[in-house]
Amino acid sequence: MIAVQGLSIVAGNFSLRDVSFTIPQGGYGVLMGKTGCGKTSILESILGLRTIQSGRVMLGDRDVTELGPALRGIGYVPQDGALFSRMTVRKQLGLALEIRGVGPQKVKDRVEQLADWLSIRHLLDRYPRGLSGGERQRVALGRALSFVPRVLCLDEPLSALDSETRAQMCDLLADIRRRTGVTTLHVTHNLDEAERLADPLFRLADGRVEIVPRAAHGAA
Amino acid sequence: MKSTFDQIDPRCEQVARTLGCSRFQAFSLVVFPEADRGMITALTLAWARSLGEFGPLLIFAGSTRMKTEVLSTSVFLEMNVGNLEAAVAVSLIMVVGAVIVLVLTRLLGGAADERVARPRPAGVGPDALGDET
Repeated sequence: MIAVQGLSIVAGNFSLRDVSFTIPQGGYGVLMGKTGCGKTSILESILGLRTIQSGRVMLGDRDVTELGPALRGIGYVPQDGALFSRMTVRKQLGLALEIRGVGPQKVKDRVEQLADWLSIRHLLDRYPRGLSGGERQRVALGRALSFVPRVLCLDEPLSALDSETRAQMCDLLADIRRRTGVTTLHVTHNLDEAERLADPLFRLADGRVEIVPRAAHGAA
Repeated sequence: MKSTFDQIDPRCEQVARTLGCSRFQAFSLVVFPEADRGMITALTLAWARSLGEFGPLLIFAGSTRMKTEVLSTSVFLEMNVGNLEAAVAVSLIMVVGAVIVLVLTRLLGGAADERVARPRPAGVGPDALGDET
């Protein structure tokens, strides 16, 4: 479960006040809104990457408001993937586990499992340079899922993809949800994406987050 | 060197933090390797700059034969004793060194331009790996 309670963010002239919403355990929350309305700021606050003025962030029954990003255990996929240019795909997929002191054999097994699952086995020994947009996002997804997080945050992960690749990635995201049961917050401004994946769908407008009933998804 | 670090996408460091890295780990494992070519270029230029240093060396280190003598002061010493051939030879060594440094800087800089005891991190431990498939 992700619960944001009374969140307030101030960054220069921009501010959000008293934002609250909840994504139930195993839910796939999609947060929509216009560019610049603060979607990414909310996501960064949940991740612990942005200082908040007030409010609380709960992950399950844990209050993580005061914890740093490393201690929250949230998988994060930014818009462009933000792959590490000096690491092979294999190294990137295993990094989070190596940091947690997992043994080499288990890291290897997990990396191969993710590679098979995400269809990126042939990319394991390559560096990010030269990967296509879809491949980059698959690697970024694998990296975020490598340490078996209970929560996943996706910041417009499909915005730079063509429509065919986007459809494939939507199927993959639905499959990830089905297999892992990970609670997900997906930020986007693409309505098709939201309609395919959202459960529930939120709309951020005028500094307030409202839940959009399923029947009204098309009007979000 | 500052511009090298400025050009690195801050998202990479942020992602590293969410993966469980401390600030130091995020820097040493992700940010620092991203800056390798820029750092080598900066070190090369700093070395090249120091190679041609003359005035401060003459004042603070002196120019004693075989003790505080360096290439730039050698030219000066050889000129003073009228040994023009030796002065030219040392000067040519410096010129060749400078050319090599410039070529290296160009190569490394060009390649760089093409690239666009703490608490245990949270997350499920190794025992849970593989439960999801």
